Amino acid sequence: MSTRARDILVPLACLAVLALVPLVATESYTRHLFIIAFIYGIIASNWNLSLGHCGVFNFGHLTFFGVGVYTAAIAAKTFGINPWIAIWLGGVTAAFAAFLIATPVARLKGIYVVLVTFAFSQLAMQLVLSQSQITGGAEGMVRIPFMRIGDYSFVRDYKLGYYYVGLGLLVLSTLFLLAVINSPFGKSLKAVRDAEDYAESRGISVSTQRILVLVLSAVFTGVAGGFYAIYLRVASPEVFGFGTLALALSMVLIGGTGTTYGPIAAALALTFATESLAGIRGLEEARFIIVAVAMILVLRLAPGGLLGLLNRLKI
Amino acid sequence: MSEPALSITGACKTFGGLKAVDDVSFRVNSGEIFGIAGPNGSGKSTLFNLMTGIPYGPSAGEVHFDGRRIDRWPAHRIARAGLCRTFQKDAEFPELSADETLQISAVYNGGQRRRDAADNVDKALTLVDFDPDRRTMRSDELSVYEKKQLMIASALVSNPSVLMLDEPASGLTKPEIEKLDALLIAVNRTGVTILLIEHVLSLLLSVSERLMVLNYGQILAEGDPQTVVKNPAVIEAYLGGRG
Repeated sequence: MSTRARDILVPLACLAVLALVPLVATESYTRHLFIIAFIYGIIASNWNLSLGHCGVFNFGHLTFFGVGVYTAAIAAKTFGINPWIAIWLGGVTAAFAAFLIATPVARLKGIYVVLVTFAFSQLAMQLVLSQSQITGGAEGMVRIPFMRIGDYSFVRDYKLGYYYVGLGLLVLSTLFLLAVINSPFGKSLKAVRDAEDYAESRGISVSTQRILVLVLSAVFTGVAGGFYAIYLRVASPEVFGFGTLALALSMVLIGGTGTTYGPIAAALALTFATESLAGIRGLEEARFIIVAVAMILVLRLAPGGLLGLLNRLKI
Repeated sequence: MSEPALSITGACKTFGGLKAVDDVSFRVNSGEIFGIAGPNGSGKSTLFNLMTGIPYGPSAGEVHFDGRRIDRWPAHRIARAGLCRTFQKDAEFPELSADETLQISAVYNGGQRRRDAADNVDKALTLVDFDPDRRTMRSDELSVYEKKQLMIASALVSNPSVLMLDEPASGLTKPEIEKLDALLIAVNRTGVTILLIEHVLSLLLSVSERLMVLNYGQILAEGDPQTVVKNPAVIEAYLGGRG
């Protein structure tokens, strides 16, 4: 099979399998795990756009997710906006937040990018905590309106509707990423990542590309945040926490930076792996240590991630 | 006298107490090949850097290109204006193929649409005689000479008016240098002005119409290449030590 055929057929086969999963997995819990994995898949693959493809060490990526969570929650609960629209508003506000953070970060390098973006995420969390009359503060927001289509309610179908909405968003996000990555803009991101001076000498503005990539990576991350809030009907400041950030980062690194499907595959694998480990006595708290060790091993033995390793081995 | 393609006036670059380029002024005429020579550390590459803004501009002095002062412009704007350079060390976008490297240069540097870019990519790669069978390979899998061809082609695809080449012959074999010689002449015949920094004097003397020699960041001699290389100060700088 040619590489091009493989790149098309394997993802399509995976999509077909995922589309059929609810026929086999009929109970809510398994479907819930898939939905969470889809959300993580969107977060990780979009983070990979800025981190893996452009080399921007953005440690504020989960902030875009959090902005999406609170935007959808406030829009749907406080302003009564239809949850279907509230989800997409999460993408709009996340992109705006990304523009705000990207402007000062675009000219920074290395550790300073990490520091500034992480500080921004902490700032966002403090903002949420301090504006409790709007955000619910430390207690967050609950009973956020759920999705429905006409009389069909998404809370009484054993998560079937949410499963397909989550999968649909993952597919849309992936198509969006493929369009970006395969465009001249996507190629220019790799140029900026690998040879900044050479890129500038070929008319590519490094700072502009960094701003654009951060904004683009925020769009579907914010949409995923919006979906997360509507699906769980909760918006909590925990989404800005280090635990979520570390898990999403491990998905990017284990799956493979610079690969399109690696972080998505890792999101599915790690979501189920951590959940399985949580069910084993004595490993409830150790599961994140195991993920961290796996991440270190992958970085040491296969720096391009597991999918990067498969690509190199031409498997 | 006609408007020069490029003029540098009183250019200086200092790093702390070190003056890497010290009050350098010269003009490059449209359509010529202008050679720059000098011992290691004489400020040749620093001069290229401050002219192109990559990675820094001059500490003092002015750079005029095509009648416009450009020394305060960002580097990508200078490149888009038509002042394109290559690098002494192998510069490449390792994951991109030759086709992809030229495509982004055509789109971003040349402001071309994707469809037009494809035609210009073909033309540029043909001009530098790049092996068609290797156009889709990753750049980091190419040979040294192919990387040099690619770096020159990626500049030419955006139709620059001035091409600045920083030691393009370094690391090449003698037959490859001969091919490079012919390539530079061919590129120049298309109307592109060339500034050439080179240690391989045979190449420099073969193609240059005028030659400038730098030493300790200052101009030591400038003029007809055959006259310049016989200048006692130049011979002293190259052969007589640096004391």
